[in-house]
Amino acid sequence: MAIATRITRIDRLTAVLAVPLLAALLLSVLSYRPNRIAPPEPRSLADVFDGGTVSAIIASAVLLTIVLLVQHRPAVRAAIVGLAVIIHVVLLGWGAQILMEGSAPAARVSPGTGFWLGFGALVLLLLDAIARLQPSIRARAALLVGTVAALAFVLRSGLLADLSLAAEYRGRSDAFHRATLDHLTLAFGSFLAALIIGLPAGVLIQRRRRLRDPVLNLLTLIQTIPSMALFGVLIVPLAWVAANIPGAASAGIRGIGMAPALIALFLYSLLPIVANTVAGIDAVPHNATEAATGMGMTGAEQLRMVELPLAMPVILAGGRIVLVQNIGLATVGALIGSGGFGTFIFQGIGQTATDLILLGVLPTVALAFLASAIMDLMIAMFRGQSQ
Amino acid sequence: MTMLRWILLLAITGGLLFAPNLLEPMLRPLAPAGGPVLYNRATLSSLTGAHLMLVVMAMVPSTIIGLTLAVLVSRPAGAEFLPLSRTIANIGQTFPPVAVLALSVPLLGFGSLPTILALFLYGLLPIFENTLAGLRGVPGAVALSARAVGMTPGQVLAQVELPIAMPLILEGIRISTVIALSTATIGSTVAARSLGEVIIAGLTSNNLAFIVQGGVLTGCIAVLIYDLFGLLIAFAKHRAGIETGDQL
Amino acid sequence: MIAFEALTKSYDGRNVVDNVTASFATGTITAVVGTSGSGKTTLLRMINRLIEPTTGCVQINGRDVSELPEVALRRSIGYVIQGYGLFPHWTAARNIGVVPRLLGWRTSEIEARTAELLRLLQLDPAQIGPRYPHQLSGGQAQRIGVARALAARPDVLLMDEPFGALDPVIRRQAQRDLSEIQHQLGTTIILVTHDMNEALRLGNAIAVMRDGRFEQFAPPSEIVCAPATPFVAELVGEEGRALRLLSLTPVGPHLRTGEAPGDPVADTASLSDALSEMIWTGRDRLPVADRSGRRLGVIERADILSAGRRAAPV
Repeated sequence: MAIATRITRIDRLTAVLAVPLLAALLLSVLSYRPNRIAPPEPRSLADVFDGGTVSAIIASAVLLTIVLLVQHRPAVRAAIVGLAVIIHVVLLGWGAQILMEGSAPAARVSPGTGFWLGFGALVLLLLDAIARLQPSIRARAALLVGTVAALAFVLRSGLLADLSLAAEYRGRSDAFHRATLDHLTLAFGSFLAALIIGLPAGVLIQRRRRLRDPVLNLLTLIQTIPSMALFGVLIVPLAWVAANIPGAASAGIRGIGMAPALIALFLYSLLPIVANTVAGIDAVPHNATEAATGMGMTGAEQLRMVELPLAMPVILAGGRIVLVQNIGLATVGALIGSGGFGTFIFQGIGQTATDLILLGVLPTVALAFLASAIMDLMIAMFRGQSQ
Repeated sequence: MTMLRWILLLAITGGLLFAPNLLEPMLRPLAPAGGPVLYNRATLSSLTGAHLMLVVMAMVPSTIIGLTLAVLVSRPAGAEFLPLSRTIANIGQTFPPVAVLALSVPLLGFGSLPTILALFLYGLLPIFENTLAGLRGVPGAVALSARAVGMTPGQVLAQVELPIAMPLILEGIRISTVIALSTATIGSTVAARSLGEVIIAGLTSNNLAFIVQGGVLTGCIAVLIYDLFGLLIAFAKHRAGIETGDQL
Repeated sequence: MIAFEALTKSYDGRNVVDNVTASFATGTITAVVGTSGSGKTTLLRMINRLIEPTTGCVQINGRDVSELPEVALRRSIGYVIQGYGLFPHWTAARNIGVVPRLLGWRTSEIEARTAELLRLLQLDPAQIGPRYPHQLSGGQAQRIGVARALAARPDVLLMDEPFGALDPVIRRQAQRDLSEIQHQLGTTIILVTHDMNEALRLGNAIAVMRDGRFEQFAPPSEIVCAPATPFVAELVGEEGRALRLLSLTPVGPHLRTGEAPGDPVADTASLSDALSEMIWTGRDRLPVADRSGRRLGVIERADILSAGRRAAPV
């Protein structure tokens, strides 16, 4: 022990991640197809770049690994790895451009195994460095804004315009914007509705002990039902409403489409919001509510000024669960015609077109990640902690 | 109340699986005129079997690996990997299960294999996270006592930490299993055999009777399995010396 | 005998235990007193190797503990901590039997030993044995913790704030019980506490610890009469010093021959008990009797008062 602390300690995580990081250099970094449906052909670093560039890339990767093995300060690690991620993405765009220059316009270039492996290893190293840095709320917010801005810049700059994914997007930009709108409507519309109903419901059953178990049991039961089953079964009553209630059909209510998906997502959202409202208010320290009663607050004042503010982090945690869950589940809505990013995913599965699947998956994941990061920040702000 | 719920669930599940003809009159109004009322391309019981098989094939390795990983990072030797593994578990769960499923297709093609891979990968996270929470929830004084009475590290884990963490571990397996049951339904879009097939068939042929059969059956099975885990968890809580009644 | 030799533990270059050399006699209670962060818990845990020293060593009966297999060492030493750390998933009886079970005793032996210990601690084996920790009162849980530590008949018992979680009435009873058991079994006990009164009440010797060092290591009367440093003096407290000293001294050595009327006091009672009795009943001298009721002599008020007077400066 004593000796180990005196000699330079080797970072074990880097030692493990060095394997994929360096192996990535030997694998296919890009894959090339003469046209959209042709089988992919692997392209190694040497196939894409000239000798000097290849040597420079390999040398920097080895250097990066060595530095990370011995450098322990999280801030330095985060800066170095952050830079490496940016270079990695730039190289992807540059490589795609080189491959496309000598090819027919119908040719397609996608990131290969090597790119994903290296990218994955770098992102893990970056996440680890940030986790160990334990940034303050301000720093986290800045980091989030910076990442979103960098991403937007890369997408707008045309750096990645030669990738197959970008080609898929260009062919469907109208459909993509429509899907974005539908997806946001599904995820946030149901969230808002659940908030409007769930918050008062949570407060109510927190106060009426007898209602608590039946309501929470019912909501748990709903959460347990597989999404496709709930989406499907809701079609039945809605189809009946559309056929039998005058004006319903013209208001956009149909058996399939947006309506059953919105209702299903709303139902799924209720449990986290109601249960967390109850748990949050339950967890308010007894002496705080007693002091509030003691100084003559009415029940409503006590709720507004004491209980809800103190319960807010827990309620927001429920909101985070709902948003992440809804953004993911909204993809399933595509199966019943609700639109959203799921449309591309299921089309892509049908055509075995990876790029089309990614066109649906990447924005969904990015949206879920963004929502959860923002909610995490809000929770941290409400807790008043600086971690 | 609980009894009634069990009877109702078992009756509906049993009816759909073994005596679908009894339910035909109720479903007939939902089927298109002249179209089939009962799903006829496969028996519901064989699809249920295939569906559950997908879940079991994924959940067994998920449990073994998720549990092992959580134990490893909670040991002093794995402490260096703890912050990152928690971040991954946290971020990984923002990944929608459908996305994991869709991305398994380019890797493994169509069929059961990509579905099992997706269920397995997604199932790891809740099991890992809950096992970790369970192990970290062992009171410090208890863990210290276990060492102080002279237990070996293996004895501390097997005799003290795991039994005390068991309710939370089972809770994690329950969450994973419920998600897996749901994602397995969607697996039928990548040609895995599951009950989702019935719902998809209903959607494509505009046959509400199919949708109701498939939807109600999957829903009932999911709730039954959820309740079954509930019993298991209550038992584990009792064994872990946790007072039941005021919890849950 | 337990001995520390230049025992040091440092974390990040800071010495939590700083070069402590001391030895504790077999069959006595040593109380280690200090404020939180003084290093007393670290010191205790180095004895059963829950913490390994940075330098120096701990010896038990002349053997360096670092040469003993740590699991075997811990099974041979009893350990009681604040909060007791009872295993919540095991019954009280199974908790008590854990070390014998680890040592591979036969089931019948374990059961007999468990019942014996429960009775020793005045608990009904049939009633308390099958209960789970969450079904025990604080006092019962504390006694189960002590019973568990004693189960394999250890020669050494380490106690870290063992009474800290008890309310005052139960605490006094638990302290009396511990003295009683220690007399009966002759176990060597090292007890860590932040409560000087507890240390004075229980310890045959007291080590006052501050910043990882022993400020003073002496019998209780010396700690009260001649505190070595201002810190020790502050821990003992200025007020009531005389009465505290009297409470540490038994009546026995101050006997005079003679007789006096009224109820006798026991020869094991403290001088402060005797004085209190005098004030209460308005007497100047009390008869003294031993446990069997035999009259031994009398105790005079003037003798008590002079026993409590500060020793003349040397």
